[in-house]
Amino acid sequence: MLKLALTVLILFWFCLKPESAQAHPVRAFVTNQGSHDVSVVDLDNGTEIARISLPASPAGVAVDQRFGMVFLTSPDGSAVTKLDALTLTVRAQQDVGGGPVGIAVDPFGQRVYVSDWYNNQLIVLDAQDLKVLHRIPVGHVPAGIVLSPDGRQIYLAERDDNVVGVFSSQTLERIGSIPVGQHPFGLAIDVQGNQLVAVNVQSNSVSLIDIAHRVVRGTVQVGISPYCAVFSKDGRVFVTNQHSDSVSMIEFDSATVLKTVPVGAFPEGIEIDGDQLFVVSWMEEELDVMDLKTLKILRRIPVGKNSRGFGRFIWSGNPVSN
Amino acid sequence: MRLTQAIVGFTAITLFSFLSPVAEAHGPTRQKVTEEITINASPDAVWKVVGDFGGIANWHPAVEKSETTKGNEIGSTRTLAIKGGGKMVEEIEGYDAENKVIKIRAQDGGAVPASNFSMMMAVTAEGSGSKVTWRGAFYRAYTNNDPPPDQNDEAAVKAVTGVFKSGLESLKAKIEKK
Repeated sequence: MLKLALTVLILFWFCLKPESAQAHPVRAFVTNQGSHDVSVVDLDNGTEIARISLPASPAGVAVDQRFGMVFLTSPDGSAVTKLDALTLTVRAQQDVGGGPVGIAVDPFGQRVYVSDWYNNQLIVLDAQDLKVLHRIPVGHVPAGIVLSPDGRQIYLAERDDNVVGVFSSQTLERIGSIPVGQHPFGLAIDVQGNQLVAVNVQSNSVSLIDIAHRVVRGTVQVGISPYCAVFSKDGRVFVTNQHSDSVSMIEFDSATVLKTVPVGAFPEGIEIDGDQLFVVSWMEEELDVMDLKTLKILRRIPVGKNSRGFGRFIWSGNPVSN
Repeated sequence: MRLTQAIVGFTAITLFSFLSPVAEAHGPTRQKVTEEITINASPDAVWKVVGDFGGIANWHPAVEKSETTKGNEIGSTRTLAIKGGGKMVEEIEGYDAENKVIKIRAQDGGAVPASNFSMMMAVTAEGSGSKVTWRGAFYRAYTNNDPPPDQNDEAAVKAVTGVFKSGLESLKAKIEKK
């Protein structure tokens, strides 16, 4: 009986989509480290509609698709901010200390995970009010974070250890360590949660990880100083190369670079929504909108100063969207 | 009146003591500098000078001597002896003669107080002459919290700006004199 009640409750939970009950705009939230704000870009008409001030040097971003909430880190301001994606009001702000950089929100919109660059810890926050729930000691200089689609596993780039740490979200204990290339920064996971990539800034490569076995299946050389990555639904991986001003398209299964295309200089954050690829250029201070098939730039949307967009920065309302 | 002053004073002190630890907790944030100059010469003529990786001592006022390992090949390094002491070791990361773009990465610990310092120089047509763009991306030299004043963000930006500005002015003077 209890089990049935629980099942009903869980089903109800998954059907609960307050924001997507009505059509809402698709928006990008690009963190601007130089102007200390976040650019809100309406992707239906390709214009910046707002710029919202944040504590110093915002970098990391994560979007809770279900509830339409955006979570942002401010490494210099030692803060995490929760922003309502629709009304664009700040819902909560928390001083977490240290240098919060990477950020991810679980698929249920319950918890937010933040990497503290200076204090070598993973901070677990309540997504509702951003109260700090736990601080877990991790490896050196933690950066990118992704969660498995079921929210059970946390993958963390432990940059100066050249490792991707695997943690259980239930016990908050380390359950694995995957050695990768030199200085992993951005991570990306496929929709099914079978494949993970770590972007190795210093070795100019991407480690392709088989999640079930927690091993590196292959390593692909890309451009110079690669930074972030994203999976397309058909299993391709797109990687930004900061010093090459380009994006590499990789086929995971064959571990080969299929194509490399030029983008705005110093590309950092990268995202996919529908049939478009979005790349944040730190140097040009723009969001490049590209056709996912042709990889041609369709438009360049100006954003704030020293734009980063490190993390998942598009609110599409689709919970399984990359 | 006194009470108001006292309240204002107290508020200021409270605010200050609250804000100061936050303000001091600055971590390294990547900085950038872009400098441009127009030169009254054809892009080809300007690229001949700018695209000569080892030739920087011929035009940069701060560089005494420059030696390269492999000329203009990607991976070639140049060791710059800086006037008044110090050196910089730099490597070609990218070289595009067709579009007249050279990308260079400096090794850490050189004369410029910056780390992870990469730069690019590009020559484009501008009117009947050329425009040279020199831009750099870098972190400050001191990569932990609370840097000393000579190794903070401002010091790095100031130094790089000086290197680029003085270099471009001297480059223009040299080429236009020919």
